[in-house]
Amino acid sequence: LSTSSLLFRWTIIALCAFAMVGSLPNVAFAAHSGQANSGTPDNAAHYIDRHGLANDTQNLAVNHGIAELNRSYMNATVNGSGDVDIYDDFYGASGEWDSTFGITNCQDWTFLHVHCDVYRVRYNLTYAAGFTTNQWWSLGAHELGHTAGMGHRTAASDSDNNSCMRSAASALRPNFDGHDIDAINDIL
Amino acid sequence: MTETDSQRRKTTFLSVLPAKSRVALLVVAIVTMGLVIWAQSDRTRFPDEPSEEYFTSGGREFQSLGELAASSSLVVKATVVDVGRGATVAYDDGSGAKFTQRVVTLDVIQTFYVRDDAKSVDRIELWDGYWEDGVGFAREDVPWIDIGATGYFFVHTAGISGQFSLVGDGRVLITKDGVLIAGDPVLWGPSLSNERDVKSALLDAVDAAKSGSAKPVPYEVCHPSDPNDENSKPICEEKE
Repeated sequence: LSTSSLLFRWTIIALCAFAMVGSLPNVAFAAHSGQANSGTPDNAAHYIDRHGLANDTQNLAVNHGIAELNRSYMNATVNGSGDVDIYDDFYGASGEWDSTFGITNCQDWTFLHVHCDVYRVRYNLTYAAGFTTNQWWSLGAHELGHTAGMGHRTAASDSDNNSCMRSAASALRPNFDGHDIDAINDIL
Repeated sequence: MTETDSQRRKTTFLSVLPAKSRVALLVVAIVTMGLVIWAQSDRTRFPDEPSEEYFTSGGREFQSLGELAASSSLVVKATVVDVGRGATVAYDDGSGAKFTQRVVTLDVIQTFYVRDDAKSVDRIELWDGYWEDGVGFAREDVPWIDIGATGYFFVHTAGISGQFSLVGDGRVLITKDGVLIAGDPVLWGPSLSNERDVKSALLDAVDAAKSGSAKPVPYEVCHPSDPNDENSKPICEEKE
């Protein structure tokens, strides 16, 4: 191959490589402000995929979570796919799942790690299977609240004790409060 | 178009660049390739710092430090002596999720509380971890700690021999500027800013747990009555 041909190929490789490097997660540690923080969604449309969910997860957690999201500017629906993958299982009560009812993380980030493209939500039936309806609602809205970009609320920032975004799921707090809705709308 | 024509076209495309630009382009390409190789290495796939936070929801809500202590197997002061990669757990829920532990080993300096169903130990293991793609993650408000970090820990056995997990956000690190309380500081009160005050509050909490005036916060653990049907009636038992 001639030098110029080699240069041409290296240019293409370099451009591809740059794109790959750019798509890697950055290493900045997300700050916490008591409300919306890391992992904000890439847009307001929220297409939710359900993967073999138990009846209560589907009917109580997910449906309620979607209804709560739709009180904000978000447009969450199960009629489509690609934004939130939801799973459940009896994950157990040890290791990673010790004292953990649900986990949400960002599975795919947009270019340069700016927003979350696809979230992964997992509900732990080991704890949740015995839940009352209000507890399920609290957990369901809580995890889907994270997919709207919200972090946890503290007792101090939820002094009227009515936000499901506190770190503990509670039957007393099944819904977003007005502060949560404002936080989502600010994110979008 | 003949092969010669094609070759000439490529040559013409690049020949518009000055020689220095071609060299610069080559250098950029080589450096970028090096970055790609580095980016795919274990150093970035299993980094020294987490790049993501994840969010959990638990069900135990502690109203006082005493409840936190009473719900713990151990309350200790400890220092991190080792950090290493641990086991990988794969889940069969269809998510493809894998979790690789980042095991944090701590030597116990002082034990303040041992619950009746636990025993004192000289060393405990806690963990953070990495997702299946090697991205390091930390639980929200509980940043990674490294060798030399010292603090107070409220832990309980995590179902895996030798390993423990934090009860709630039960961790207070001692820093050169004072203390760093994990999670919601409401249990500790707003004015705690130094180790002496933290230790005093901790001792009061442990006294409440030992005397029985503070009780463990219970929780339920369930399994399906039909192991093959997650919709079958759950069998649940209360634990503390």
